[in-house]
Amino acid sequence: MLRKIRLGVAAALFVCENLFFISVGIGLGVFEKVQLVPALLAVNVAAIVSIAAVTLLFGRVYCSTLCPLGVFQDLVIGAVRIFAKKRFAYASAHTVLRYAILALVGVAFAFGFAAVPALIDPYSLYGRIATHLLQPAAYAVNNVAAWIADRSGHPLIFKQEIFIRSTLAFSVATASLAAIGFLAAVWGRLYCNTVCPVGSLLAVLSHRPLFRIAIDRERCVGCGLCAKVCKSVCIDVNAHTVDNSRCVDCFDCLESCHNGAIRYTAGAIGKPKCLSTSSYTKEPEYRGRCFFLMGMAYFAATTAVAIVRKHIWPVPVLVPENPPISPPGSGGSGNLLMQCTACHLCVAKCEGRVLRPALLEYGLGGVMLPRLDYSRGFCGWDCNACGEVCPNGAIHPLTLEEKRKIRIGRAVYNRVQCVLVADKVSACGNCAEHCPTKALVLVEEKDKKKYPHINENLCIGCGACEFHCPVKPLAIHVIGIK
Amino acid sequence: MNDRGITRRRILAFLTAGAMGIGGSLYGLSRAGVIRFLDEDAKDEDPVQLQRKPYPPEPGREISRLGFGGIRLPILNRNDSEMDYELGQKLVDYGVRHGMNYFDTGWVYHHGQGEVFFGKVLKKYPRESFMLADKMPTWLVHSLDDAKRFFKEQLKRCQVEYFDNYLLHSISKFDEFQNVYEKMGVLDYLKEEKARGRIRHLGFSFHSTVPTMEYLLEKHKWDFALIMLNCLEWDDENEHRQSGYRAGTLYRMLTAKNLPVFVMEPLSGGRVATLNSKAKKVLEAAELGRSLASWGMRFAASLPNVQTLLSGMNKLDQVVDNVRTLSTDFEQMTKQDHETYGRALAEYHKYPIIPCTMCRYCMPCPYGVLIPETFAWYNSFAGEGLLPADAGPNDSQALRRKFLVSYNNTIPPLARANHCINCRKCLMACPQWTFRIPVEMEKIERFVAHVQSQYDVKKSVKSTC
Repeated sequence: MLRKIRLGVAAALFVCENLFFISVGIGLGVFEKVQLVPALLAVNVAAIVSIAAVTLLFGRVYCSTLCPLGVFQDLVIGAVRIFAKKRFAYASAHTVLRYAILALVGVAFAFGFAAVPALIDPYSLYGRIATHLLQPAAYAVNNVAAWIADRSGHPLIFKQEIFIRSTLAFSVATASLAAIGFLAAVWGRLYCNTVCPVGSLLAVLSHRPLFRIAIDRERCVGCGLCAKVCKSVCIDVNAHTVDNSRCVDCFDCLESCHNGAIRYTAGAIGKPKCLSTSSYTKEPEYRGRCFFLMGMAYFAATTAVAIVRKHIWPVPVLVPENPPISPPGSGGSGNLLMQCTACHLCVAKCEGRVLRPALLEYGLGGVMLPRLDYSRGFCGWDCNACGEVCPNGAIHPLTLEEKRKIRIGRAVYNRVQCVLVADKVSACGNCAEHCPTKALVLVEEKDKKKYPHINENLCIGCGACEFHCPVKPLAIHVIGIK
Repeated sequence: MNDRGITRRRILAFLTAGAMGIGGSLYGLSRAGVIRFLDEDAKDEDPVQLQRKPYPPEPGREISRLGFGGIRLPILNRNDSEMDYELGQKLVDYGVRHGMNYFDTGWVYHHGQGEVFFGKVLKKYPRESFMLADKMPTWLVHSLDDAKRFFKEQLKRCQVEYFDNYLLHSISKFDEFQNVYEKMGVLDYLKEEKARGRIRHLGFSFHSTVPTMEYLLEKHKWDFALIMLNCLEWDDENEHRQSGYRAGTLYRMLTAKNLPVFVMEPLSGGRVATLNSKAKKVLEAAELGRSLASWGMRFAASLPNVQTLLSGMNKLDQVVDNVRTLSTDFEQMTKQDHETYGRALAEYHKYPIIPCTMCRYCMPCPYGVLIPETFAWYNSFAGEGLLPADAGPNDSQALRRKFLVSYNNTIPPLARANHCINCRKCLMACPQWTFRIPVEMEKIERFVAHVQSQYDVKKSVKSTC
């Protein structure tokens, strides 16, 4: 029963999260906002406290339901089970490696080196898979439907443009899909219990949750069936113990046991009997309380650091000399480098096909962070989607009025390349025609041609002029501001 | 429009119809399907013969009422660099089998490949059995030497010793005609060639105004003329139309001079073959089973001084239909037919459109705009009276969506009207002067932006409520 509930909840959440990424419906974005790393970065206290409380009470259910990468791994393992007989066996935890990675992530974050956490944060990792692989696939299906609708004389579906937004991000998404899929197929939840910073953070809290998986020694016959289905490889049948810091509460083991010896209950099973051999049982009790306190302290400290880092004393990050154009509401590249984990939700949601993952424009630490590229569109006058959807607080939500006033770059005009000079046509003015703020106006000069002039105070850097500029190389382009 | 209830049955019907339509059109469009049809036709022992009409400038010569237009020939890839000779040869054979003996090409068709094509595929027929027409590309001639070079190259490309008909291509601007043909002396040169026998008959293809025609007929002697003539641009004698392309007046002027009239664009780029749904209803009510194209062809061919209609051979179903219409049992349009057709055209003229004939001379646009496609898309809404406009009776959120979806799905983002910079290069090439491409582009862009903003406003109001 528990397992079925878990499957149902996980499936529902997974579908919602994916639908939001492939741009169907705007209201489902709440599940992106309560992912742990984004919640920590955005100091979403309600989400952090809820996740901590749930973990303390029920263990790492987060990892089996809310985390899209966790559910994806379960899907892979499920698929493997259909085609082959998959058996897991108990292995001890890589504790040192695990917390070393967590520390590394923390340090990288503290110094605004977003690329490291961006690479291994499970939500961001899955976000890139959804944006660069799932969304194009969904678009392809959509376009076939649109083609059929067009052909039958009822054009009701918008065709979507499919293109590779960035070769690097596409490759990273493909590689991580392959790597995580492989790890899951062979070693189960190895990634979650060794590499994943979220898994490590939650592990601290779930050493001894109130409700947990435990083995009833009286009923257990030591057949080991439960250990064979355990993808977290955390059930030690010989010792009759379960490593709850690694258990992701998938409940697969509950259904494997013929004797009802393994159960999900509050507290340990068979306590009275254990109490008689005092020295044996006292230690876990003590350790449990200790871990609980330690975990709470740790979690509180993390939250406190996040708050301080964001509001009180921002860590000075290395901002590049000529920064690219960062999204409206990001508050410049410095803020983006501190807050963004490159989940690419904004990239997936960008209506103008403008947001694209950066290569080295933000420096080495800012690989894959979103930047604006005006070759396929421009930042729409009536669009503020990126700020609305950003779960990290890297791009602040803006009202349309605010967004239309925010300056993200400035247009630069290069007369030598202008179509009026290079192509010797008599009139163009396509840039001025499309400038939404009228920062760009045409002024007639001596040769009776009208040349564009830019009013720096009015220019917001939306790129309408750059997108509509007819010549290559561009006579007008937008550069980022510091 | 009434509210459409969407039921499961309707959806199923749409899906089935859509799937069948796709299957059918795929088969019809596929090259293999066309070739199979042509091979099948070659086995016919008694093919339908086209009507032939004596050609006054050359006693004893008869020309088929339908001529092979060379502007849109089968190609293997989109940028015209490779002609589809296998299919092209079969199409020409098809034409000859059905009595076609007039082939029309030009210097610019398929970037010069068009002339080479006819040279190759007509090789197997005796030179006397067919008539070949070629044209001097007026707008590319900058000196007399250019013209001489073009003419010699054309003979070489077509692999012939002489052209039966030779035309001054696309007379559209009066001063251009004066400059090229009179001042540079290209016309005198062509008359020399005619005296030498390398041109049998000299004429011109015409896209200009009535005064220009008056000048041409008064100043020079011609053997024939090629004009755009179709029911849409036709004006009656007592109509006294002053604007637009006055095909009727031009035809009467040529008739008065006893010049046989060759007709191009008899279907006005396919528009005569589609009209709009209301006009279609009128014609279907009058005579079931006759296609709109057939009505259009009959209209032009019924005029007593019309020699031959030139038609593109790219759409097989239309070719077959045209051959049937202009065959030996061609039916002249009766008075009653004229009355019916007039009623249908009145329905059609209620909704003004951009009269682009899809000749594609304007392409490629240096700034990437798909000009003919954009106009065709716009006309598909304008011609049916379906433009979502502020006060229009048809305006609704659903229609706006249909309009925007259709634009989005038909024209790629970087080829839309907003990339037109008004450089006017297309105007040099466009033979139509009743509208100006950049002006229409700007209108379309503004209109789309307007509909978009209306659609967005209504949408956002709805979503916040």
